[in-house]
Amino acid sequence: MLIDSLRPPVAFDSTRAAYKDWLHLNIFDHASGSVGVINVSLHGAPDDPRARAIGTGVFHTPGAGWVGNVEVSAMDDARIGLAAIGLPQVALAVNHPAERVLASVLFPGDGLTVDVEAQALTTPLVVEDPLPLGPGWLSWYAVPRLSVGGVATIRGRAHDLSNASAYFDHNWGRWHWGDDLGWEWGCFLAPAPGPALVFTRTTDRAHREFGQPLLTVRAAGTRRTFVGSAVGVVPGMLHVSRVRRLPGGLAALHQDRLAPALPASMRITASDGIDDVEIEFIAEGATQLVAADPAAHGYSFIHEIAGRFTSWGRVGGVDVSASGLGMIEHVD
Amino acid sequence: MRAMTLGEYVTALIARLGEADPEALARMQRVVGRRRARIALDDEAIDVAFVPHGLDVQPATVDAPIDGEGATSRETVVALLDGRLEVTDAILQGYLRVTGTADDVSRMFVAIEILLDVSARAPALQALAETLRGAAPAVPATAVSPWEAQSREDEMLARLGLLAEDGGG
Repeated sequence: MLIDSLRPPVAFDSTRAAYKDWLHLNIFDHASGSVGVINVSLHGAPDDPRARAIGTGVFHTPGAGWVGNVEVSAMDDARIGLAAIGLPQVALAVNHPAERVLASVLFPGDGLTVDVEAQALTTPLVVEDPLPLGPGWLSWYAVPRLSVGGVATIRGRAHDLSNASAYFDHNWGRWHWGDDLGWEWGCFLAPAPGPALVFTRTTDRAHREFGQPLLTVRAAGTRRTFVGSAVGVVPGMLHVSRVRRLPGGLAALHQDRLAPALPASMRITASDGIDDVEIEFIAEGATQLVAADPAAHGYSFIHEIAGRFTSWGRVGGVDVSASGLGMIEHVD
Repeated sequence: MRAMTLGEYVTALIARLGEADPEALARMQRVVGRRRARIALDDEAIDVAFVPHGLDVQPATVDAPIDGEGATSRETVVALLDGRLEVTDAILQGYLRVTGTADDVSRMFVAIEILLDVSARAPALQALAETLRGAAPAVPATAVSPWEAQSREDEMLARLGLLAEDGGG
């Protein structure tokens, strides 16, 4: 891992009200089929009393649905380090010299406690230059594959995560929730030493206008990133259904979002004439995280969609045919 | 420490709303006007109305005139705040009862929406919600299933002949 840290705005930054920063860990437990999201985030200018720190810990288990919850607090009440955000119920810290990510979730009343350490197994993907995101911008730093140690207790049953896979990213930028923006992101991990594939593209809120797509592939001894017209995306049929929505107070405010239309599948292809990859993702369950902007009267809706994938193709002479667990994020 | 009474809680909510967003409080006052609402939470009930000097909160009495009423329990409120229960399901399953003319009920919900909207930007309002959570009994084991609620809604719509035959919207 390269040294990375949270990027709070300087005092004379005229866009500081739109500050966003987060640390994000996905866990894919191949044994149980569970897929988890642990995310800690900062929203708004740090000296604004409305600024927020939010901790999210949610897991999806096939047949059992979603467990976990979202914790919201004033930014002042969070313990914030160089690359760490700690809230009473959700915490995530990155130890860059040791290339480790530590995370914990304490939502026993919502059926979830997690205590994990993840070790980087691949080099990071760094997009330091700001990418346009609606009227704002976004930068990111991602580690496509980490090994995992620890336990997730889901509805009272302890799951040893020592054979699980993980993905980590750090995103930062300037935008207001509720602006005309969105994104589609996906992370697909086969059990180690299989491939790790990460896809992203920014969108407008309606998902009709798209930024340059990117698909990065990390497989045994090889790495490849496809961008722009080399990447194709075919969202599947939209599936309208009720989803678990968090936090509850903001969900109550948006009854019109009770049953969002979300892609039930997604097909991603990438080819540059030398290498080619194809991914087929099938969704198994979705949850909706309602994001309120602390400085503007706006809301965005972050949908985490858990499921399974199959991939085909060759990259750098390596066969990347595999199957495993995946997660798509659909933001509008 | 003594738990807040419902009257103290509602008074504190409105005070913190005014501190966090005076414009939102003014908007709420315009929406509800001089209407008087009864709020019942578990075995407590109060009548509230905006008056020229602020919020008037009185213990509910049988013969007091009111324009509408909302009744629920602490555990329902906590379940809503925790995202375990949707408002639609709370109403359909009888956990949240709201009565009044359509206009008065609509204005009550708009007042609640203003409160929820401001709470997203006001840590003091969210902190107050935590005090309610502390006073609430554990959420019942009979977790509300959205799918079950959807089924009951479909049954009701079918009974009333309002369900589209092709299953479409």
